[in-house]
Amino acid sequence: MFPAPPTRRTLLRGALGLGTAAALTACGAGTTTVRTSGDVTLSLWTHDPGYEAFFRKGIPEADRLTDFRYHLDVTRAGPADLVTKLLAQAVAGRGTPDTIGFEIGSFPRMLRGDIAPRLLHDLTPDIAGVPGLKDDLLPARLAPYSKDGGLYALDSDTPMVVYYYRDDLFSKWNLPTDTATWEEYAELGARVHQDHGASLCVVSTVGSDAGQVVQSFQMLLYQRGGAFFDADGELVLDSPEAEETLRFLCDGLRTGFVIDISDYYGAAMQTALKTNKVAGLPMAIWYKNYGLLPNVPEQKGRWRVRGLPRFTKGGGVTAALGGTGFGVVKDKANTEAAVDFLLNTWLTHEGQVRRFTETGYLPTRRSVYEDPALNATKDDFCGGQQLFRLYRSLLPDVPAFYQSPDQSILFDVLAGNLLRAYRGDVSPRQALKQTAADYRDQAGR
Amino acid sequence: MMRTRIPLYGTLVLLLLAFLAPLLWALSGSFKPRGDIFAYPPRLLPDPFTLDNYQRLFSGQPFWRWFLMSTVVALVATTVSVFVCALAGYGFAKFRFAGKRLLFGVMFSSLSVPFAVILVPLFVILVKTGLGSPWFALIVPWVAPAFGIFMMQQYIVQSVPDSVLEAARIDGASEFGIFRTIVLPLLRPSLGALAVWQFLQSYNSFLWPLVLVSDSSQYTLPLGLQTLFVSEQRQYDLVLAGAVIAVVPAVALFVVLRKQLLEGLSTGAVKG
Repeated sequence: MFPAPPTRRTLLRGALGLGTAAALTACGAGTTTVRTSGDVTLSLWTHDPGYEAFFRKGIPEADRLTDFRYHLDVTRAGPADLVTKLLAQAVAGRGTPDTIGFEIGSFPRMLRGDIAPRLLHDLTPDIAGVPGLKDDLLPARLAPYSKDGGLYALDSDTPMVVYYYRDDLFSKWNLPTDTATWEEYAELGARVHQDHGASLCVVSTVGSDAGQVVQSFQMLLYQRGGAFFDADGELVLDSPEAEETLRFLCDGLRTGFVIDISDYYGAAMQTALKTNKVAGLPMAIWYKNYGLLPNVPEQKGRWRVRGLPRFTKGGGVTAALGGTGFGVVKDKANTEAAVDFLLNTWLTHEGQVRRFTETGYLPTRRSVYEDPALNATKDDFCGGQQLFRLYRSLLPDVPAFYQSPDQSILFDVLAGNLLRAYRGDVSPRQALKQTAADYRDQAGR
Repeated sequence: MMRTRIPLYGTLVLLLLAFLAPLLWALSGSFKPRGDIFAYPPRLLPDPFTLDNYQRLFSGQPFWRWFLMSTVVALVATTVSVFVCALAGYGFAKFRFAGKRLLFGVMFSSLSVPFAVILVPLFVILVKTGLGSPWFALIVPWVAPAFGIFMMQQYIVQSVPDSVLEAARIDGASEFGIFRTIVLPLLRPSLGALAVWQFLQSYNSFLWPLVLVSDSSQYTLPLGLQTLFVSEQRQYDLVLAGAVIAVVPAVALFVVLRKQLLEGLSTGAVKG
């Protein structure tokens, strides 16, 4: 049964990826009169209405800071669908957007061949043109959207992974909230499961997509200091850190410290949360707004956030999971206007402050973490906690996340092998070795 | 006698419930507040009962336009394709012409080519020839499906006697007149089956509208409903309400063409 055969959509992505680089060559850059001022309607593609709202609200500020008067024409579709659509439109030579948001897991398709450099505007010189900006931007959030020294999108978030826990249950069950290491947490979690039937960690399993299955493992792997790919896009998964992390999760499943759930956002998780089967879990900061709030609004005030416990053998206190990079399509009449729009909404201090207050996404500029207003913000869902201060303290530990054009292949083969390891069919070592072998076999590298 | 059928009926009822369960769950969920959709233990009957999901579906996005777009495109595509398939099937079944076997072989072999493979080339061709407007281009891929032509050809070979056609020719009927007045009426059961199949193909299509349409007011239903689901906040409540409405045209078509559909399928089964 594992790994799952590629779906039609996966095959399409592959076919599009392979064919697009060559086809784009034929498209070439036509003669375009570049708009440098005045009224401009930017075509914006995104998967999330939250981004649409953010950019619409940013228009007055962008109008004030530039020579343009902006209007937005927004198209929404699924994250992977947007890339499929973009590539098809680019090959056809019409209908591409001016600005597009790439969910981080969908961006690797743009890294195949020279698709990104041919299709997207390199933002490196624009960043360099703003005094102090280059050094202020967090390199960890530029890495996923970079290729060969070019930067093709600007991230929406510094999506740190933190530990969410139910403060009311921890108090009721007399559990410490400052447990230092994962190993201690695992012992604690086993007792909690035995005494109360609850778990303190979650992995996503059968029923969810490969991305979700991988994410459960990915968070702790990166926290431990491991990675999927290095800066050159080479697979580095088969490592002692990865084996240790996977063994930790497998052991946790046996003791009940870890619970397996089919979907972080769907019915299974909602039920587990409502019935107190999940008393805590590691997840990215955005999970509060997009996972907990929609699923268990009645638990407002009961949740708290802390940094991840450390692994005894090393690593940091956080990881990063998710993100959406906004890029600009090159050689179009609105390219300059779109770049200016991004710089003056997405990257200004005010824009980054607004992004956190309106969408819950953390700044990608180091200096914004010193903003007094953000540091004073209290979070009602988390019992009035000043979360931003916590996030600021975790910032130095955010690891870079490098992507490969063949990431989707890795996710498919890794998801299957992770599930086999969780079920006990293979050892963590075997699962990782098999993943590496399957990946190299299918990706040809 | 009745007693011996109890296991059979029991099995059928269980199967029926299994098939209906997702639809019933969607119907029930569409009338529940968002927080109750995944409530545990699950309740089939909404309590409280609310129409809020439907109200927000219609007020928050151009749902009626998506519905209209899907239904009109599917109906036009179905009407045109059923006629084209019947005509082409008649040609392959009853006429001799040079290259017929080769042409039929090519047409038949195209059944094995997934639509995803021809998606981009088809899109490029339509754009380059100036025929890329959504109303036209959304219909084009469904106009002459190989499966439909093959199905019609098979049915005509089995069900339309050459002697009837020869008699009509002797009586002076034109070839198109024969097709219209003799062949088409004989094909009615299989046309009904093909129409239902073709309607669902077009109505449920996702990839092609995705590539073709950028203006959200021109989205088809699958595309529109997908945008409600893929945002960071998965709007199950709106998706369920939309899915319930989306089922209506397909069910209506099935009810209208039920007789022809069953007749067409059973005829095919008997004559296999």
